[in-house]
Amino acid sequence: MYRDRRTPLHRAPAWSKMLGLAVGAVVVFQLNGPVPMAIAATTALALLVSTLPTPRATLRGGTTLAVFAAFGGAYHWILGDASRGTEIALRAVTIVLAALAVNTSTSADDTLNVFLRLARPFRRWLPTAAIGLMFSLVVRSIPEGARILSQSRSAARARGFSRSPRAILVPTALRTVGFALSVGDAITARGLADFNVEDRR
Amino acid sequence: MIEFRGASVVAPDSGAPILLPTTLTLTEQRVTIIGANGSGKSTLARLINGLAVPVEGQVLVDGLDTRKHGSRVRRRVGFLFTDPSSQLIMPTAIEDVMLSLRRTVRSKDERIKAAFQALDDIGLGDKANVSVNSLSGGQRQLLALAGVLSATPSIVVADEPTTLLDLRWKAHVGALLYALPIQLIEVTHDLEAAIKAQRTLVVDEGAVVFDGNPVDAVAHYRDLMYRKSVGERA
Repeated sequence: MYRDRRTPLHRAPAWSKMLGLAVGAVVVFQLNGPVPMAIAATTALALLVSTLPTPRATLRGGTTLAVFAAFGGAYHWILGDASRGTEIALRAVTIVLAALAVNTSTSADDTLNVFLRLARPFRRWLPTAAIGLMFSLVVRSIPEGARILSQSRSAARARGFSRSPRAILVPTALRTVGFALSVGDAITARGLADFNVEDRR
Repeated sequence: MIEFRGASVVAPDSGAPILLPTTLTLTEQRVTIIGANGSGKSTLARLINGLAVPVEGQVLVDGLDTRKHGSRVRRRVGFLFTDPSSQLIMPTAIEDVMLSLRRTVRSKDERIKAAFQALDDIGLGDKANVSVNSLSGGQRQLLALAGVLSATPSIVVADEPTTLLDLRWKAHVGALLYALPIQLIEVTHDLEAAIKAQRTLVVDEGAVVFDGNPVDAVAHYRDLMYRKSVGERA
């Protein structure tokens, strides 16, 4: 979702945004009642809008969020506690909007630097660069995993096994391992594994 | 300069030979490697970057042993894979190139400038902030190449870089690779591309069975494949 912009949040150091997000999440969990939660949600929305996000990506992230928040809220509404339902839905909305604001205004390069700095005191024992890289890889692997699953499902359907979970899950698992091995090779080939060794020296 | 000195590779689990002891020196700017699937040509290419290390013998790049000096060798040798999806790690194009630059460029501003330049040079300047998942196969391969070139290697090893691309991208990526002012070692099934090199190696059953003029190498390879297919039918 990150876009290079010149907004105040883009200019703020990555560590301060991450710290702000963590503190904000704690505060949001301390708030009670729909009105304070509505104010918090509006603030988070304003923060997100201030980062000038792309409408498409925001809509995609926002739709998933709306569905989850609606489910959480509806559950408490059904149980007869409308106020609690609204509060829970708004809390989820607030935290996700704030996280989106940080995500939209912070490049992966800056995020990586924060992880590297945090792990720096432990560099004698921990592969700090690898830890930073790991977070990027997790984000990168999600759409790739979804693509592999979708292809395995299509292949199973084409062979007439659309109702067999094994016909979908086994190739998905094997291809995911294959993808992981290829990524490992690419990391080595790009010298990123060496970067980690050099970092520990 | 790349030197193979009796370098051989075996399968780690079964011990079956993948590449028989190979001795050769590659000094030409354009070298292609052709051969059937599973013949050992990719293993030969991977030895150059240190992705694979020989069980016997040595592979030297500019005098550096790939087994002992893997890190320094990889600074000199960039590697381009068949499927760029596994080579791209960061979420956007610019960030992926910046990742390649982390080792050589310490300042973030300099890194951004250099990454934009690398993307511009390859024709992806307008895709800098685009998610790598939104790029076409050809654009991804270009981005992977930009990542490789931004690290300023003196050699690029490309393992079937155009196999997954359509005709338009195949021609574009192929032309970019051949215009590089550095040494290019390309593994390929594209015989038209293979003959553009200055030297071609034909690999079969783990051995370099022909080494020389690309036109003669392709003729040798066609004959070899013809004899094999006749043998299989008989």
